[in-house]
Amino acid sequence: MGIQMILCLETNKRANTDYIYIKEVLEYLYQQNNQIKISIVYMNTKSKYQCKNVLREIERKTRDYVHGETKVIYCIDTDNYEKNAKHAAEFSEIQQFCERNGYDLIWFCHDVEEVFLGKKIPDSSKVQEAGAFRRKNRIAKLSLNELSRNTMGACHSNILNVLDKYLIRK
Amino acid sequence: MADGFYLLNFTVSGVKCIKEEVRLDFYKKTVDKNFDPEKYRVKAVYGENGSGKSALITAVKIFQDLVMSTNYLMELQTQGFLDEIINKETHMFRFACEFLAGLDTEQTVFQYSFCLGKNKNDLYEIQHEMLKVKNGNYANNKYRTLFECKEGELIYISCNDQAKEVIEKATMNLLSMHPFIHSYIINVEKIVVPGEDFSDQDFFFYILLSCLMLLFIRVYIPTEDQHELYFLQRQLKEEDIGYKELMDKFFAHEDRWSVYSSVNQKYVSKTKYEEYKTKVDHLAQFIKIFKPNLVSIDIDAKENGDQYVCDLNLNYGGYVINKEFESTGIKKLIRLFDCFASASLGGIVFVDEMDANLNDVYLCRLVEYFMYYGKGQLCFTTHNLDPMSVLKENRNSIDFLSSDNHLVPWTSRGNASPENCYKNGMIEDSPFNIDATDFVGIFGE
Repeated sequence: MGIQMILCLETNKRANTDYIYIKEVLEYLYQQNNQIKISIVYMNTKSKYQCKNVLREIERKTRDYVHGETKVIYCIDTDNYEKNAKHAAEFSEIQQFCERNGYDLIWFCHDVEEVFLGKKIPDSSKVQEAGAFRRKNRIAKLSLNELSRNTMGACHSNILNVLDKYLIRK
Repeated sequence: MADGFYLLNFTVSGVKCIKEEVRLDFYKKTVDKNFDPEKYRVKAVYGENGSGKSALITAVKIFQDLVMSTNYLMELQTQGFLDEIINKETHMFRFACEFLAGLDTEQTVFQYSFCLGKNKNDLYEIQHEMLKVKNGNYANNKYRTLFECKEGELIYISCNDQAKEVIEKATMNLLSMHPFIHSYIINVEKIVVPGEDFSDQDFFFYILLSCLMLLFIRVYIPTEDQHELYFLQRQLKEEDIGYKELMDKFFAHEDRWSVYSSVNQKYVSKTKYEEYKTKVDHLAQFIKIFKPNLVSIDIDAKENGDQYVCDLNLNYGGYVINKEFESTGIKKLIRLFDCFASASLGGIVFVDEMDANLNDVYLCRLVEYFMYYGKGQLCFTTHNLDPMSVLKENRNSIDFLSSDNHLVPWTSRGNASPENCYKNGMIEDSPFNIDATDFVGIFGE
């Protein structure tokens, strides 16, 4: 019995650096086999987390995967939730939406680059930095504790807590 | 079914990356009196790079070469080839197939199997070989063993003691390096004594049918030279081994014999030259479909003893192009012509990488031709998804081979198309978890 993980990313196909870091985690820490199907849904921006297109895409991929169960996982940057009320409210809405629908939520505090590179990166350098992260195998030097947090804080993420539910570590 | 053969399935293990058994089914499970292969003539095997598609085709080639070539396992080149091609963990190659022979209204199902393994001298030998037969494939039909060989010994044969003694003598010390079927046909004159009464007259007939089936198989592997399959042709056609009526039935049309002659052969016997010329004319007609300005294909034949050394030139009226200097696609079509001719006339054809260098539209039309008008079977591997839209009309026509050697046949899912399901990774065991971002950072950027 297979499992499909639909990752809903707040990026688009042209700037999909979030998935580079997630894929590095998947390949470095988890056993890979043909029973695991990773599907991507691009939201373009997190504010579109429940727009029609996104929900339709989730529904379509769930329907097409007939030989196992499907888990929907939203992958969201918390942004500046401590200081920016708008960011905090938006994140809270997404959290509630995921809870209501039985979806998982992977959060990166404050964004994916801060978690994996320890610093903020301007948009123009994101692809280059992600490429260097992969090429230099920096995932091996990362503290796994920072990726297994239950509470939000700078450079923290809960990614391993969520992936551990469905995948087997190497 | 017209008189001829139909391959029902084959199972292989221990070839290249295929370690465990992989079984390809060409027809439904039950073969009854209403056997109708019309919708089961074409099969495409899809799979990611390195999944073992070519290994399946190579396995059929080994099967054919083993039984058809006189000293296949005795040749150093073969042993070297098998060393490379047989799975390096198991060192054991197994092949089994079920095929149906239709003659008049009679349908007989055969199961042939063999296993190659290493002997104490580190050479590959036949460790097991068996042929079974039954009438039809109903659940209550049981196979009857015709012969079984184990580690070079004939351990069972379905004939009387007198015949068994003659056969044992004729095949003594041969069976670890030569398949029983082959040894039997080679020594048929010693074994089948005219006027001799065998308790099981069917035995010789069944062995003969099994050999004939092999003549109907043609395998195309792009990087390998085509092997010429003259041995059994000579033995079965040119020497009188009885059963003339049977031969005439299967090869009622002279064309049928040419399922294994080739326009791609360089040396043509003078006695076969007229047949060769006819084939080249057919080839010209075929190529004209793709190159309407082709006028003819001219044979440059140089005399060399009792044969001609032949080269083909494509004549476009104002200029001539040697076959070797044609476009890659046209060269591929010329090379495939023999296979296509064979599949059209009732042959059982395997083509590896059929899509390579062929235009998508041409490929789909060719596949359609074999689905609607072909009389034989065509099984090919491909990466091109376009033929799926045609193939999905038929049954057992699309198989997906996963990287862990699991074969998943396509089964219709409402309105879902096989091509979309496949490329979106929605086929079981073929998730295609590959993304454009996987290449970021890889090229040193």
